[in-house]
Amino acid sequence: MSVLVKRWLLLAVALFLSLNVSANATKAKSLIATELNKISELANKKELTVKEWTNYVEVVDTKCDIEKDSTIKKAYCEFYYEIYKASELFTDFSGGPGRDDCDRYLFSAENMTKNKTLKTDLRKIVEKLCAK
Amino acid sequence: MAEGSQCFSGTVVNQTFKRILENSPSPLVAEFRKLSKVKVSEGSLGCGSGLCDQTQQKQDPLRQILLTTKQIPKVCIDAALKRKISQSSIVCEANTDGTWKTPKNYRRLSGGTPCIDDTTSSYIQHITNKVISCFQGLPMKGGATENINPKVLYSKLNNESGFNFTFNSKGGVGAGQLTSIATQEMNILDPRRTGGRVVKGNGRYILENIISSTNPDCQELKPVIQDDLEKKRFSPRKNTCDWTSLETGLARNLIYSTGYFSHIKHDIIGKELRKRAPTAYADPEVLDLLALRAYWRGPGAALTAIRTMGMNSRSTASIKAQLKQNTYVKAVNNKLGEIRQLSGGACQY
Repeated sequence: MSVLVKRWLLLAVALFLSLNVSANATKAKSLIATELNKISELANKKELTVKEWTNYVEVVDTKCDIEKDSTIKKAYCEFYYEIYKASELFTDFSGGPGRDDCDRYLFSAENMTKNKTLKTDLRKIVEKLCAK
Repeated sequence: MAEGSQCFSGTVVNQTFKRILENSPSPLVAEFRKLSKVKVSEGSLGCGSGLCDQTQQKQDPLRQILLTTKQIPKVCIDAALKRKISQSSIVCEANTDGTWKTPKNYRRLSGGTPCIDDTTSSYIQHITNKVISCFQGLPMKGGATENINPKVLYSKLNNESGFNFTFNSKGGVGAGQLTSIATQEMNILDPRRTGGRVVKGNGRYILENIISSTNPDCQELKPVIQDDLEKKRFSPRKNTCDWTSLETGLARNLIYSTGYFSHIKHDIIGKELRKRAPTAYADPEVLDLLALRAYWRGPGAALTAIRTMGMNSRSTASIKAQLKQNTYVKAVNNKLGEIRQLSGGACQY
C-alpha cells in the first residue's frame, strides 16, 4: 500500500473516531438532560417517598457501572456523583436522618454540582423527604 | 530572596513579623521563642533544639530521619516563600489584650509588605510540622486513621499560597487558601442556611478529635480552636485576622485546611474507594493522588475517576501511573520542580 494511501486511511480512521466521539458526546448530553428532567419531576412530585428517590439514584449508579461507551459512562458517573449525597443521607442512617444530618448532607450535595436548577431540585427533594 | 538576601518576600523596612515573633505573648509564638531561644534584647532569634540550624540537623541523624520522613524541611518552606505569587495580602497584629489592631491591606505584589525572613520561615515550619504531627493517627470516620504524607501536604500548601499566610482574596484566605465552603464543613454551617441553628459541618468531628486528643503535638493547638464552635466561625472572610495572623491565624488556617483535606480524603474519596475498589484503597498513595485531584477540581472528578478508570480490576501500579498523568497532578509536580530550582536542589520533594 503506498504511503499516500496509508495516510488517507489513517485520516479516515481518525475522522471516523472523532465523529464517533462527538456523536457520543451529544448522546451523553441528551441522556443527562433526560435524567435532569426526571429529577425535576421527582422534586415536584407531591407524594415522593424515600424509596422512590433512593431507587432512582441506584438506577443512575447502575448506569454508571454497566455503560460500555466511555464518553457516556463518564457522563453517567459524573451525574451520579452530583446527586449521590442527597441519596446517601437516607441510607447512611439506620433510623433515618436527624434534622442536622439533613442540613449537613444537603450542604455537601449542593456543593457537588454547579447546576443551579439541580441544586434547587435536590434541595426540594431533601426538604420534602426530611420533613416526613 | 528579596531586599539584600534578608527577606524571602516583603521589605526589610517593614519588620512587623519580627516584632511579633520577638514580643508576642501568644502561646504558640512564646513556645517557638522558647524553643529557638530568642534573644529579645539583641533583637534576633537564635537557634536552639536544632530547630532552624541546618548544620545541626545534619549532624543529628535521627532528627534528619524524622525531618525527612514525617516533617517538612525548612529548605522547602524557604523555597516556597521565594516563589513570586501575585496575591493581595492582609497583615494583622494583636494588641496586648488579644484584640486585633486595624489590619493593613496590601495590593498584589505590593512592595510594602512586612519582611518574611528566615525566622518567620522557621516559625511557619514549626507550626506546619506541629499540625502534621497532631494529625498523625487522628481517628477518621469508617475506622480509618489519618496518616499525613508531608510531601502531599507540602505540595498542596505550596500550590495554594507558597506558605504565605497573609494572602487574602475572594479565592481563598491564608496559607491554606481557605474558602467559606471548607470553613463551614470544618466548623458550623452558615446560620443563614439553618434558620439560626448551630449545625456542625461534616468535618467538625476532626476538630473535636484534636481537642480530645492525647497526642502531645496537639496540646498547643487546642486553645486555638477550642472556642470556634462557641464563636460560630463559618467564614474566613469574617474576622480575617483570625485566619491570617502569626499569633493564631496561621495555626487555625493550617488546622482547618489540613482537616478539610483529610475530610475529603477519608470521608468522601476513601469511603467510595473502599466500597468500589478495596485493593486500590489499601494503597495510601492512590488515596492521596485522588484526594489531591478532589481538592482542586472538586470531589466529583476524583470519584468519577474511581469508576471510569476501572480501579477494581487493575493493578495499583497502573492506577497510580495513570493518576500521575492527570493535568492537576502534573501542575503540582511542575511547581515542585520550581521548588527544586529555587532551593538549589536542597529541597528534594
